[in-house]
Amino acid sequence: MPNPGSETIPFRLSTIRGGNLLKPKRVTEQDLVRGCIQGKRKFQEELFQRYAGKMLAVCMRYARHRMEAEDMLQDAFVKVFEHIGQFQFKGALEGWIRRIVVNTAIKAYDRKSFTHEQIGIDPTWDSASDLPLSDMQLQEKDLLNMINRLPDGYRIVFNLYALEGYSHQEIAEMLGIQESTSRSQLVKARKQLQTQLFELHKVAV
Amino acid sequence: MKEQHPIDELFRRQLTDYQMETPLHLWSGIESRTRSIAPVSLRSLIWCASLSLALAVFLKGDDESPLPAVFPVQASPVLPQASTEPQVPATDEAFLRTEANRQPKAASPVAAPANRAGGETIGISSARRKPARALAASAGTRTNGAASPSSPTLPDKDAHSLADPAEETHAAERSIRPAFAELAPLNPLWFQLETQPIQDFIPGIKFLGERWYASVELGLSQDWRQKILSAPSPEFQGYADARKATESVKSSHTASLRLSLISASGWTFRSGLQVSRTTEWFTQPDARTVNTFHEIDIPLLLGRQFSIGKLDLGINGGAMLNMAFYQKGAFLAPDAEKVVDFSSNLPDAYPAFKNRLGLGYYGSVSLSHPVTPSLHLMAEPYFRYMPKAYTSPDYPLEQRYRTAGIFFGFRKLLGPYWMNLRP
Repeated sequence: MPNPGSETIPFRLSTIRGGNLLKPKRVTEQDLVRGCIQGKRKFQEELFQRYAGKMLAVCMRYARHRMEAEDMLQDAFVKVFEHIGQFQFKGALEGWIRRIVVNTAIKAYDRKSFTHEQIGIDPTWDSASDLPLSDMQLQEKDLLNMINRLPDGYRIVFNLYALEGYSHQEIAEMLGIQESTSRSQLVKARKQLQTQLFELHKVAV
Repeated sequence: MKEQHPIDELFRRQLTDYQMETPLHLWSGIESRTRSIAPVSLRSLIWCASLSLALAVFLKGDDESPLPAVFPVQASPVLPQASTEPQVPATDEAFLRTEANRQPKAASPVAAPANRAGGETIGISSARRKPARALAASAGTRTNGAASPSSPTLPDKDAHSLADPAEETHAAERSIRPAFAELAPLNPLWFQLETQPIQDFIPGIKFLGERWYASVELGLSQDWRQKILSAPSPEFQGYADARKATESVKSSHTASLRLSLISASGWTFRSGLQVSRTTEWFTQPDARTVNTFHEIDIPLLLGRQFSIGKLDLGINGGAMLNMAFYQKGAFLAPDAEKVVDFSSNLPDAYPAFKNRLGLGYYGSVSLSHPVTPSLHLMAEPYFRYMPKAYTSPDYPLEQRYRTAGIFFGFRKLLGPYWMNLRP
C-alpha cells in the first residue's frame, strides 16, 4: 500500500491572480503541506481542491442547510491553513483535516442544543430490523436530507457516533454533556431516521 | 467493540466517502480571508482619522505663517522704499516683479558691488533686495557681525514687535489658552476599544464593500539622488555654477515604516513614516566638509497587489507629505566670497532652506516572497520627486532632488488567522 505521505497527485492546471498559467506537474502530499506552511497560495488552493468535496459532504451532515455547511467549510479550511504546521505526518492528512472540520462544525452549536433533552432511552423505540435496509436503494442526497431534518443535538451525536466512530464518552467530552445524554440523543436520532426511512419505503413500495 | 446498528451502518456505508461538488466561490472566500491576516480594527481607523486631521491642521498652519521668524522684514506692511512708491504689502509677489523690472540688474550676482555695506554685500539683485537684506542680515552675523537684524525704515510698532519675537509668541499663546481651556476632558473609554473588526463592531458595514487586512512593512534603501540647482534669474547663473562646482552628493539612505491595508480584491493603501538622510561633499580650496540633509515624510500610497507564483507583486503610487526638513552644513554665499552655515539647529543659520517641503510624488513596484505564512521578504524599487524647491522663495537659487532607490526589508502580516474566523 502506498505511503499516503509520499503519494503523488496530479497538480491541477490553474489560473491564478495575475494571469499565470501553471504548467502541470506532480507534487507529493508532503510538498503540498510544506507549501501550505510557507503560505504559498497555489499549494493552499490545491489542498482545498483535493479535500473540499469530501469535507463539504461532512459539513452537510452537521449543518441544517447548504449555506451553513459552506460557512463551516470555509471556517475549517482557514483553520487548516493556520495550523497546518502542527501536522506531523503521523497519520493521513485527510483524517487530520476531517477532525478540524468536525470540530469546527460542532463548535457552531452550543450546549443549548442538548440541554432540553431528557436523559434516558425512549421506551417507544422499535427495532429497525423490520426495515429492509439492505435492499433499499437510497441516494446519498436523500440520506443527507434525513440527517438535516434532525434536531441539532440528535444530528450532531448521530454523526459523531455512527459516522465518525466516536464513543459516547468521547462525545460527552467533546460536547460538554453527560454520557447518558449522548446515548439518549443517539437513540432518538435513530428513531427519527427510522421513521423517515419507513415513509420513504412506503412511497417506494 | 461498538455494536453496529443497521441504521448507523446504512448511513456510514453511503456517506463516509461521499463527495460533493464544490462551488468556486468557496475558495475565493477562503483566499480573501487568508490573504493578509488582521481585519482593520476600529481603533486603527480612529488612528488614521486622527493622523489625517493632525496633518491637515499642521499643513494649514504652515501655509498661513510661512516664514515669520526667519524673515521678519516680510511682516512689515511697508517696504523700505515705500516713501516714493505706492504702498503695497511687502510680500506681494506682483509688486516685487514690477519692481524687479524697474530696477537695473547687477552685471554679475556673484561679483558683489564693493560699496554695499553689511548685509547688502551678498550681491542679490534689487528684485530680491528686501528679502535679501534679511538673508544678508542673518548671514552677516556669521560672517562679519556688522549687520542689523531690522530695517531702519520700519515703523516703530512693527520694529518693536519684530525685535522681540518671543513676546509675540507669548501673546499668541495667551490668546489660544482660553480655547483649550474650554475643551472637554478626554474620555478614557475612547481609548479602550478592542481590536475588533469594524464590520463586526458595526454589523453590515464594510469599507468600500470589502474586507481589508493589515500588514506592517519595514524597509531600508540605499538611494541614488540627483541634485538639481537652478537659477530662476539669469543673473544668478554664475552663483549656481559656483555651487555646482563645490558640492556633490556623497550618499543617501532612506528608512521606511508603513502600515498597509490590503483589500480582498488586491487594492492597497499604504501610509507611515519615511526618514531620509543625504550627505553631500562641500569642497573648498583648503578643506572638504560634509553637509547633511534630513527629511521626514509621510507617504500616502494607493496600489494594487497581485500574486505571481510565490511572489506578491505590488504597484504603488501616490503622494509624499513632507513633515520636516532639517539640514546641517555650509555652502557658498550668493556673493561666492564667503561660506555661510545653514545648519537649521543654529539660531542665526543662513535661511536658505524651508522647514517643510510640501507635497511630492512617489511611485514604486514591490515584490515580496513569503518566509513564513505571516512574514514576507520584500524588495521595492521606488522613485520620489518633490516638485517644489527645497530652498526658501527668497533664496536666489532653487534646489531640488530626484531620488530613486530600492527598499529591502520585510512585511509582517498582522494577527493570526483565527482573527478572521467568525464567532
